[in-house]
Amino acid sequence: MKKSCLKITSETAPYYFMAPGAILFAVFGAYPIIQTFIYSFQNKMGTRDSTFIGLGNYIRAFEDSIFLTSLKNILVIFIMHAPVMIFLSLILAYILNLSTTKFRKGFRTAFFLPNVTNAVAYTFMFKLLLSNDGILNQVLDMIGLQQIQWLSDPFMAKWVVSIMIIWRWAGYNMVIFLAAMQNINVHLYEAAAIDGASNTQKFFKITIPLLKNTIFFTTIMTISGTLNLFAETQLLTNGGPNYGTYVPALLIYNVAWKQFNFGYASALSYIIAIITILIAVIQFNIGREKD
Amino acid sequence: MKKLIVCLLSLILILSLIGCGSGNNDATDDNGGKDAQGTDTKAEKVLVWAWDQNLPVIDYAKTKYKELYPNVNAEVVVQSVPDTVDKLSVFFSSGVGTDLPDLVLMDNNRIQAFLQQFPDKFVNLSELGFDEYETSFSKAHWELLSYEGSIYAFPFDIAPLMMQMNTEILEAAGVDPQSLKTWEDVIAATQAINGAGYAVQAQFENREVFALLQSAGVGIYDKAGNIDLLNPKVVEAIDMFIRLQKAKASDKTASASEVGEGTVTMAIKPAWAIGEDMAVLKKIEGKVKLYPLPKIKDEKGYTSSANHGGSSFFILETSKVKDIAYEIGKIITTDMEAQDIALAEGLMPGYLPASALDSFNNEVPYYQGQKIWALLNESAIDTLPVYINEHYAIGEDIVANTIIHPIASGTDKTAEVLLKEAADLLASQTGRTVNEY
Repeated sequence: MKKSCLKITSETAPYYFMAPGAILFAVFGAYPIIQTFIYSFQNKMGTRDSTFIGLGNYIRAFEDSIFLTSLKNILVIFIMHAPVMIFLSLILAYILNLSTTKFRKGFRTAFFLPNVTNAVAYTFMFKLLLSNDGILNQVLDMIGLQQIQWLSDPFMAKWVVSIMIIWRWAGYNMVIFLAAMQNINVHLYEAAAIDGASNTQKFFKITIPLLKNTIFFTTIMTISGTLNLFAETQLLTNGGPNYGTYVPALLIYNVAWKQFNFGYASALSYIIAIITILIAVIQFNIGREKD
Repeated sequence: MKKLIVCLLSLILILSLIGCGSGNNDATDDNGGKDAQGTDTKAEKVLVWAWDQNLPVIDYAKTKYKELYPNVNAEVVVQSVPDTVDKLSVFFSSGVGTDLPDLVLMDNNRIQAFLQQFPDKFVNLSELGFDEYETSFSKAHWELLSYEGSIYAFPFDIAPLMMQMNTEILEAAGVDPQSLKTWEDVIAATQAINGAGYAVQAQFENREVFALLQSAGVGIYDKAGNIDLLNPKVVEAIDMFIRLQKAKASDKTASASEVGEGTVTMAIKPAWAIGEDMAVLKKIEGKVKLYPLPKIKDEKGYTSSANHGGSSFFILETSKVKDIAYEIGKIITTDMEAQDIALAEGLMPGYLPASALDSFNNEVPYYQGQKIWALLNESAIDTLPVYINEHYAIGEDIVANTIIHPIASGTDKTAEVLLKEAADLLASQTGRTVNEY
C-alpha cells in the first residue's frame, strides 16, 4: 500500500513537483503567519513568559491614538500621491506608446530607473535636498526667498513623502501601463482617427476604458504599497514631526523592536493585513460589477 | 531510478531544513573553541560588537589580555547602536544562539529595556564578582545597569553635557559668555547675537530638551517608574523651552551642522561628541570654549549639569568564553591605562578613580587651552539621576512628537496642555500611572 503511494505516476507526479515549494512555504510562510496569529492574542514581551489575553491587543489597537493617527496619515498620503502617480504614469506610458515619440527606449529606462534605486539611497538624497539646511533651502536663500521647513511641518512632510513615492513608483506603473497599451488593437485608434478624434479624445475614450483592469491592478498594488510604507518615513522623518508621517509599519516596527512588545505588534500586523485584503476584495468586486 | 531521485531530493531538503534549525546545538563552534567539557581544543576567540569610537580601548584590552593568554584572539565587529539593538533583539526573539558576540557595547538608555524584556540573555556580573567595583562607580551609574539587585553590564563611559560657546561671535555681539548663567540670560542676549548676524542655537531636539529637564532633576519617569511629566519642574522646563523658541534662542532656521561652520553661537555638547568634533570641525578650532549649562533658575534644586548617553558592555549568556569576556570587560572598564585611552577618544570614563589621571588636566588648544576633561568631570559630579526603564524609548518618542515638534512648529498650546497630552498618551501606551500634582 505504502509502496504504491510513493510511486510516481501521472496522478502523483504533480504532488512531488509541488512538495519542495509547499514544504518551504509551510516552514517559512505558514508557520510565521500562524505563530504571529497566536502571538496576537498574548502579552508577548521579549522572551518573558507570556499569557493568553484574548482580544486585548486588538481592543488596545482601536483605542491607540498613535495607531489611529498612523492610519489617518496613510490615508492622507495615499490621497496625496495615488491619483497623481497613476495619472502621471498613464500619461507617460501614452506618450511613450506613440509612434511619433523619439528616444522611447531611453526615456523608458530613465523613468524606470528610480524604481531600482535603493530606498535608503534615495531617501538620503531627498533629505539632502529638503532638510532645513538642504540644497533647496540654500537655493531659496541665494535668490532671496524665504526658506521652507519641508520636514518640520507635518503637512509639508506628508507632501515630501508623497513626492518621493511618486518619483520612485511612477516609472514602474508606467511600464505596466505601457505593456497593457501595446495590447490595444491599433485599428481602434485608426478608426478613431478617421472619425476625426484628437489624441486627447483617443486617450480618454479608448485607452483609459481599455486599461480599466490594469488601472485596478495598479491601484490595488499602490494601496498595498502605501499600507506597508516604511523605509521612507523612518529614514526621512522617523514618523515626525508631531506624528505627521507616522505610518502603521513604522509603529509596528517600533512596538516590536524598540519596546519588544511582540504580542501587540502581531495584532497590529494582522489588522493591517485584514485592511489590505478587504480593500482588495472591495475593489475586485467593484471592477467585476462594472464589467 | 525515479524513486531514487525522489528519495535523494527529499533527503537533501529535509537535511537542509534540519540544518537551518539546529545550528545552536553544536557542542563546539567558532564562538567558543572549547568542547562540551570546557577543555581547550584550539585558540579561543572572543567576538566583540562595538562602535568605532571605542575601538582603541578594545584594542588595548585585547592586547593586554593576549600578553597573558597568547592563545586568545579578540575580533571586533564595528556597528552602530541601532544595528546592535536590531540584531540583538532579532537574535534573542528568534532563539538563535550561534554567531552571537560574547561582549556587546550598548547605549546606556537601552540597557534596562533589554534587561527587563530579555532577562535570561545576559550574564549576571555580580555572580562573577564584579560587585567588588561597586564603590568605583557612581550610584546612579551602577543602578542604571542593575536588575533585581545584580549588575549586568560593565559601566564604561558617561556623557556629561556642557555648553560650547563660540567666543568670537559673542565678542562681535558684545556678550560676555561668563554672564550666560541662566536661560533667562541667554534669552536676553539673543537680540544682540541675532543682530550681529548669527543664530544663538540650532533647533532644540531631544538632547537639548532632556538636558533642560535633567538639570532640574526631573525626567519622563520618577524613581518608582510613574510618569512624571506633570511635575511642576517639568512644566517649568518646557515653559522655558517655549520661551527660548519664541525668542529664537532655539532657532528653527538653524541646523546643528552650522555650529561647525561658525554661524551658530552655542551648542549643548556631550563629552563623546566633543571628542569626535575636535577631529573634524576645524573651522571653529580655537574659537570655542566650554561653559556649564545655563540653569533654568539660579536657585537650589536647579543644576548646570546633565548627561546624554554613555555606554556599557554586556556579556551574552550564549557566550562559550564568559570568563575571558569578563576579564576583557574588566580591563576596558577598570584599567587606568584603558581609561586614559578612552579619554583621548573623548569618552569620559565612568570609573571614578580615573579622575586622578594626568590627562584630565591636559590643556586643549581647540578649546583655547581649557582643561576640558577636568571641566566635564566636574560637571558630571553634580549630575542628577535619570530614571530609565523598559518604556524609556517610547517616552522619548512621545516627548519628541507631542512636545518638541509642536513647540518647534510654533504651537499656541501651553506647557501644561502639551505635557498633559503627552502624559495621557504615554499612560495609554505603557499602562503606567501618571503622577498628579
